Amino acid sequence: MTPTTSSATRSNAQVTPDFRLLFETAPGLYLVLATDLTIVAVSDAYLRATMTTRKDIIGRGLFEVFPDNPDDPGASGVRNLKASLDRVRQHGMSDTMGVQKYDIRRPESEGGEFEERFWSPVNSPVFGPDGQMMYIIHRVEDVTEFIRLKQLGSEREQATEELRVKAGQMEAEVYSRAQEVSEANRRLSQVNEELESFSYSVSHDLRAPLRAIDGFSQALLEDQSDRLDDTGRDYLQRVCRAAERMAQLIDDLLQLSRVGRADLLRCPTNLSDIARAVGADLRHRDSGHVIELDIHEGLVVNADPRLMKVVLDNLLGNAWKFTANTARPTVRFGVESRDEGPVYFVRDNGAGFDMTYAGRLFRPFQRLHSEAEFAGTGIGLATVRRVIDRHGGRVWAEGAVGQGATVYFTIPPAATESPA
Amino acid sequence: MTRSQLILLVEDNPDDIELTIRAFAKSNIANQLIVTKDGEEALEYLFASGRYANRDPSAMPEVVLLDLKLPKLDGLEVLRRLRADERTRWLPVVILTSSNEEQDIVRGYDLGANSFVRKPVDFTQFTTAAQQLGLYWLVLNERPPAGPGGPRL
Repeated sequence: MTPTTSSATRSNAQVTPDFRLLFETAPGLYLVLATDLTIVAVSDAYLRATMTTRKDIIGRGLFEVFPDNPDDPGASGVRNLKASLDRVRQHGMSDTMGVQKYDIRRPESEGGEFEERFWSPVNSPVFGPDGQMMYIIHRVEDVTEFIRLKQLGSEREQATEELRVKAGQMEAEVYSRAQEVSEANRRLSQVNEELESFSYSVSHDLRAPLRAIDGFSQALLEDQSDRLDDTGRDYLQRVCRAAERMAQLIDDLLQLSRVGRADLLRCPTNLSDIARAVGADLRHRDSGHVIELDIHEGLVVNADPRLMKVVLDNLLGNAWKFTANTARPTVRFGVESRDEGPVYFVRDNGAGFDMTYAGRLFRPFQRLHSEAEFAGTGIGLATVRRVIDRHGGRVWAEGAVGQGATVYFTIPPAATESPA
Repeated sequence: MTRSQLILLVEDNPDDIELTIRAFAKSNIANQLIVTKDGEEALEYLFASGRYANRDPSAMPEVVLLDLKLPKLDGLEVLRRLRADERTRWLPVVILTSSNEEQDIVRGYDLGANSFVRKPVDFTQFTTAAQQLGLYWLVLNERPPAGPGGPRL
């Protein structure tokens, strides 16, 4: 039985494939970086495309091996690649770059000059079993020929000069568009970062002076009460109330901005459980207002539980507020089955609203009741709409003055996120 | 070892200092409040160096009330240095700040804060919070065992 040995070898290779060999000889252009951007592995195809050798580049820094072409004043390769890798490191997600001009230096033995090259790179993180980022895979396609053909015109295309010019222009346009998209992305994340630090500063710095306004007004009321007449005391109380109202406005605005910025983390979410917890919290805070709360059990959606808590906080909070003057206040959280799928609702028998203004309800700062009737900032329903929008759902309201209000919303099972 | 019954407030905003003193005065514990106005001064106080070189370093406060936004060394950096030093590794630190940004809360606990309290704008609520903090840290809380850094675990 001669074939025994060879078949044993074969099955060995099948059981434990030589991953190193497979990786290095894979047809794609792969470069593996440690998170400090040191080169740790590379495929043969990548070495060929960049005219490098494995022993010359392993263990060295990416940008030390591949610097910008010093003769190209417009070289943006290092900057753009670094920005992309920074995004991968920061967000832990793949980053696709636009077509990028990144010139490659010939080996010293061949003169050491830079050669014009165009690449289409994708950078992807690799996570270890502990969830920490271990590597970044930099995968590229060499699109130099493609770009050059279009730029210079191939033999075939010279037949129709006009077509060639047009194709060249279009290709140049695609290239510059890709660059523009990259640039716009970079600016957008910069603006987002600025917005983040702006909100942070608002939440911190705007509250401190309010605390001083409220605190020292209260101090005057307490310490100097006998030197103030009724009007004086009334004015100081108004100052305090205004400061507290502004603090509430700041908090509500921050929440509106946060629900737009937060990552959407969908998972099976039991809305009934959240509604019960929110109801218990409202009862605890406002124990004088006894309400019958009827929650439909077992309502589970695929949504972000923290954001859905914000939705139910606002909707049940509103129902609580607007039933303050109702004889037998009842609030229901339930579901209706409709053609478009399940429609969830929060219904109360409170003050209601005029349907003429139904469209305005979900805009920030729109209020249908005076501050004296029902306190509020007019930001709650705008926040609700933003959360539901981000889940790809719809939200609307129905009601009549004195006959209560119902807010409906949908959460499509696997909808894609719409831009916030 | 007798308890110091001291509270160290690390706060740069003069209005907030005044209001905090007032809130603690309502619980008759204002004279136990020591105020340092930036992170550097707080560290000098706790490690009995610089401006506080003559202080008895073994008399540690019962609790440090730490604001986050401070000139020179910010609150989180102060916390990091306290946790890195044997003498203050177990010192109770309550972050007392305006922010309730999740990133601050997460980083605060990450660095070993014992508690995170957002200063209410409403002074009545602020007074209640100060009273509760005083009662809890001066009376109810069992201090970590005495001696610099306490016993190694």
